[in-house]
Amino acid sequence: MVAPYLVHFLVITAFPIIFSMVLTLHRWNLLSPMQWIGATNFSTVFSDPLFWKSLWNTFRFLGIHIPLQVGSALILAVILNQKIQARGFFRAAFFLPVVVSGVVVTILWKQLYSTDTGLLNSLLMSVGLERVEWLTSPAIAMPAIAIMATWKNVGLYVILLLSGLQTIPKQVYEAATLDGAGKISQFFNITIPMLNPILLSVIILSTINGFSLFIEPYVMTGGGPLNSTLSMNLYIYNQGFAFYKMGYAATLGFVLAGIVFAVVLLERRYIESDTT
Amino acid sequence: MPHPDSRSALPLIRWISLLAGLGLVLSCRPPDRAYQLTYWCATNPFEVEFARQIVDEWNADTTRIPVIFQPVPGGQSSEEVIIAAIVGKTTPDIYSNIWPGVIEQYRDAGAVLDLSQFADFDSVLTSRVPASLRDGFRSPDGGYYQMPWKANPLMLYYNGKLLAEAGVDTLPVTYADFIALAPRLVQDFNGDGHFDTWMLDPNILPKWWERFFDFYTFLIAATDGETLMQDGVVNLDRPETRQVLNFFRENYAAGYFPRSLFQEEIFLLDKLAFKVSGPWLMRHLQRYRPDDYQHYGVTNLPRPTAGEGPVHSYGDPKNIVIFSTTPYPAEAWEFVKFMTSKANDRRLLDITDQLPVRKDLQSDPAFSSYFAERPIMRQFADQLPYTSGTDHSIYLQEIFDILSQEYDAASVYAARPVDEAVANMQRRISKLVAREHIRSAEAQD
Repeated sequence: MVAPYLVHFLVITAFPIIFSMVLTLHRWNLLSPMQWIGATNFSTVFSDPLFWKSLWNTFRFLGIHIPLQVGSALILAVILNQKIQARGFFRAAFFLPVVVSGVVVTILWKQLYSTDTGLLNSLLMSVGLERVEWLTSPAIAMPAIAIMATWKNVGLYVILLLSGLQTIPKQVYEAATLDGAGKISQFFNITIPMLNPILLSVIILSTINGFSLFIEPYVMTGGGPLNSTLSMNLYIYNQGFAFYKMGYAATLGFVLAGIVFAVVLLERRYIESDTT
Repeated sequence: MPHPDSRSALPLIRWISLLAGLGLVLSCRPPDRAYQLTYWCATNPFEVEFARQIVDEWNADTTRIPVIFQPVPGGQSSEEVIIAAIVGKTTPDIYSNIWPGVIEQYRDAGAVLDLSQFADFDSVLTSRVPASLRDGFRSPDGGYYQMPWKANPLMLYYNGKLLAEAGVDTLPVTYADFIALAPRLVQDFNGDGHFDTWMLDPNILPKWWERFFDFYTFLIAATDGETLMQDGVVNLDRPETRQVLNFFRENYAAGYFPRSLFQEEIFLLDKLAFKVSGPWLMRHLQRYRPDDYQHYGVTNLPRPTAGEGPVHSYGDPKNIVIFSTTPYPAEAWEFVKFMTSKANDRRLLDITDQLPVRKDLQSDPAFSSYFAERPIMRQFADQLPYTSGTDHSIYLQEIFDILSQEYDAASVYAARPVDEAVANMQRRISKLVAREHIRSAEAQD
């Protein structure tokens, strides 16, 4: 009975992981035979300035994206949990970008963000504001990408939070109202604590999604300007599929996996300790 | 106890299972290679049409080995698809449109045939390819792993309408001429302090291949045709590299080049005075500006100083290879010769507006009517003998990535002094080249 699962596990999961581990100890360009180089790839990682740059960029993205993602999803979920008109329409509308191809969304936003011909700058300039170099300024490009990624994914987290909101018993709010608690007090003292398990999931999912940042910089900026949007995944892709350094790309992949694991563990411990 | 019907069905199920298993085993066997050649061409519709016509003509002669063709399967880039095919041992026999920059990787892997093994290769090569270009296609081991086929020399297009409106009647020859023209050609229509028309729009994405269309082409022009290395030594720490970087830096700083990413073709929209491109752009201009495309013209790239002699440029060559997996190398070579015959080179011109790499392109009557009908193409044909390709290195993509990063920092964003960028280019690329030398030495041992 376990054979199908075992075959699936061995072929789809175990083999690629083991093969990648083997790759980390080799130099391989796909075409020539693998060459054993021991731990050289690992020592190269830590002395590679672009690795540190891409790591910093990824954390910078997460630093903007996660609060923005969780905050906007929470606000929208609370609004959509009220008895407002066309609630079903809005729920579907916010979810729509999630199911649209990432490349399509990215190309659309690239046009919106265009410095000289983009809609956003036209709007800014029509109200007398200075135009913004959304994708061509090293300081602004990554926040611009974070805003786009937030817009793209917010619908998924709204649905998750909405399901959490709907499990909070109404009697709790009624009791709090009787005790004289206002709406804001209820939000911070009832809604947030009772949503904690879902919030934990949202934060962890946003973190993991954030670490996998690739399509947006690949299509919109190519990692520029001045490598300011070079994410870890884009860097790994470049090493593997532009320069065919498979061993080094695999090593970077393992380092990234380790970092994701550590960050998610920290988040989980922090939020769980906060809850208890 | 099994149902009687199911018991009677058991032998049938067994037979079906046996046959299915046999079918599976047979389908897993490598198929016997039919007596035919597979040819992959580029995906653009003009080249597909060219491939269709030559394959039809070849196959009409039933004494020849049959050829089947298909556009290179879809992927991020044709290079990625070819690499995947080499790894998976599913390469075709022949592939056209190969970029010479990847030949060394394929040669290193033993994936492509040395065409000089064919007895008549030298005579075919010398009778067809201009002497000035031949060495550029020869690998460091002395072999030819590619048949030079076509080129798309990059030149400077200009929008004659914009130039006329600005009263410009002299085209720029030097960097100083170019920059002096800029204040007359760039315009700020809405008075917001930003230009709405520009001189040139190099793509600012830091992708390595984009540098062929700006920095590298200008460097070739500035150095009268030299590439990045001379005799295997990196030669970037030179005044010309600084001049090219400074030229772009000055134009970006003044706003003459837009630091913007456009989705639309602004040259077609009269927002750009000049554009660096190959002959293929002319076809787009004719298609999208059918009424007034005649005002677009072509001239040489500007150089740091006027200089003497012809202006060189990047040739953007694409060639033909025969993969070493072919069971029919001699027949494949015959097909390559057929593809590059005079008649088919004329066909290539007619269908694709891309230039065959031929030394008699302007002198042979077979091509004269084409150039008589399209005088602008004659300028590209004039440029052809004065083009350069790329250096031979298995690390060429990485080398151009380094160029791209330093160019981005020094010229586009002026975030790094030009001298520092040049020193970085020289040091980082030299390191890669040294690694390649060590690798070659190890392979020989």
